[in-house]
Amino acid sequence: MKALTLTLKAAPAQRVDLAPITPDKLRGKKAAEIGKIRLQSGNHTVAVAELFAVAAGDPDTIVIRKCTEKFDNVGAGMACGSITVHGSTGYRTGAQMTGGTLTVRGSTLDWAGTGMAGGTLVIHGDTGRCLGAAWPGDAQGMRNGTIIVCGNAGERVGDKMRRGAIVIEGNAGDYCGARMISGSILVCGKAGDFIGYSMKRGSILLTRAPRLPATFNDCGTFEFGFLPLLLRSLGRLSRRAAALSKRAGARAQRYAGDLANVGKGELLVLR
Amino acid sequence: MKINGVEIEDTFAEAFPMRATRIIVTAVNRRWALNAANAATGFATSVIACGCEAGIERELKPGETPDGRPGVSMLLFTMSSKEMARQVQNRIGQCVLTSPTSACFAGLGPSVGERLALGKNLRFFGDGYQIAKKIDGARYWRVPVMDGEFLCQENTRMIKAIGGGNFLVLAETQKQALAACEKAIAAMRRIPNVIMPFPGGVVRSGSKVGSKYKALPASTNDAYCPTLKGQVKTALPPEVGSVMEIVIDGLDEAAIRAATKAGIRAACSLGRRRGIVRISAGNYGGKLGPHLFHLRKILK
Repeated sequence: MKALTLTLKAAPAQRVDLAPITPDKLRGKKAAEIGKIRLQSGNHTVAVAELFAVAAGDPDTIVIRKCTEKFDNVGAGMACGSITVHGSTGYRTGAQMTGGTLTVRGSTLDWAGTGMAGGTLVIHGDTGRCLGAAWPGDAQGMRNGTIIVCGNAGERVGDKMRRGAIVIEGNAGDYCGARMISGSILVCGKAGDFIGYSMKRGSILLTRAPRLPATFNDCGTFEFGFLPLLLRSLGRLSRRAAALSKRAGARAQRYAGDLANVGKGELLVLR
Repeated sequence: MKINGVEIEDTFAEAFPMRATRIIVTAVNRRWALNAANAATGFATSVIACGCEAGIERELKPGETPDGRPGVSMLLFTMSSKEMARQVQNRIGQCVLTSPTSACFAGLGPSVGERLALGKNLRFFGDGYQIAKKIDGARYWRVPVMDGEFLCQENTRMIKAIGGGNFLVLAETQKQALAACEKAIAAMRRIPNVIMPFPGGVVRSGSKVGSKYKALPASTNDAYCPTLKGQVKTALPPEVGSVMEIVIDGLDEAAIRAATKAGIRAACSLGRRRGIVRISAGNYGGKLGPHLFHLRKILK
């Protein structure tokens, strides 16, 4: 069955909350009903059909065309199915996701994957700050699932991240993995300053030596049996991770930290 | 029924329900994977005194293991779930965790049977420095050890299985019986989902239920002891001078049937001319277990 397709008619003047458009929320609804769904935009609401041309299809597979950064909460809270976005998205893309696959064939603004608890978020372009990070007031960031960013990511990737995996194929900004509780982050490019700042546990995998914070200690270079498993798993979603999986093997230099906090985290520089 | 002049007795093997699990052990090379697996499946010939019956199912190529290193697939069988938990913890803890470069993984998929702790308790050896990693829905434990890290999957699965499938090789001499059994074991090791838990896969001390000594639940199967032919009511024809048994534990009936068939055919390949007289099987009149393996039906 063909996908349910929403094609943007004209760029909205104000930001629009697209959270109601997810496979689980649209299940059983016909195209006409979907067109009548009201989306929050500033202090008023707007119908889906006013913004998008709705082409009927299976709501388990949603395609959004000509999307722009004016649309926030794209795929937020989705639990199943797939959403493919052609264009860029705004803030909180894939926030609170619990399942399914959200693919953005463009870039996103800040807070993508915040509070994510499952599923897969793939961003083909760049992403802003606080990818998979804890929303202000939340005790934890991303709690499960996988995020792949083919471009660069801003500051505070995986801030307070609790579980799951993030792959940044490009560069990551400052404070990558700051206050991390657990989980894995792979940065294929360069990572900024203050990497792993105040992290408790978790692993940050790097392909080149970072500017090391003073509160991380070198443990030496070893074979890590879990690395081939992790890289092979991530390699199914990320070409850079797949290439690393073939090239890097299991050897990595381990820096333990942040010793100013619990100190059971690690920076692993792949050899 | 005869194969190559070897008589196939019209009898059956009697087997009983057991619990089983499959565990994959990997290491830096084949030699160290085998060292770990041999230790973990050692002293596991019979549940009577070993707690479990265990063996190497087969060796695995690097492409077949979770971490891409050479590995070994082991099968363990016990009489209860509780005993299985104890045996896995002790054997993996003492024989695999201790073996240089080893890693340990579940060998049964998450959709079958019930959960069985693998690294779940062994992780505490890490004294707080152990690290959990969840990869593709499965949790692994990284336990720091003196050669680096011991990687162990948190859980494996335990399923209902069958133990005690068997057949007997009756030959003119000890040498001929052993040669037939060696042929049989070589063929049976190619069958998946089974192990032959005794030394080299062969047992020479088949037992009967009970003993003249009250403390013993089982004793030598005198009817099949060739040196007692003149003393007891023997089951052996005059020309038989040696009997050996192959015991088979399998994950299901089909696997035991396939192994029995392959084993008997291989044993019979030596033929009557090379001293193989008869193939028989051990049973308790159908009273012990619900699984009956009729030799002639299997070989049809």
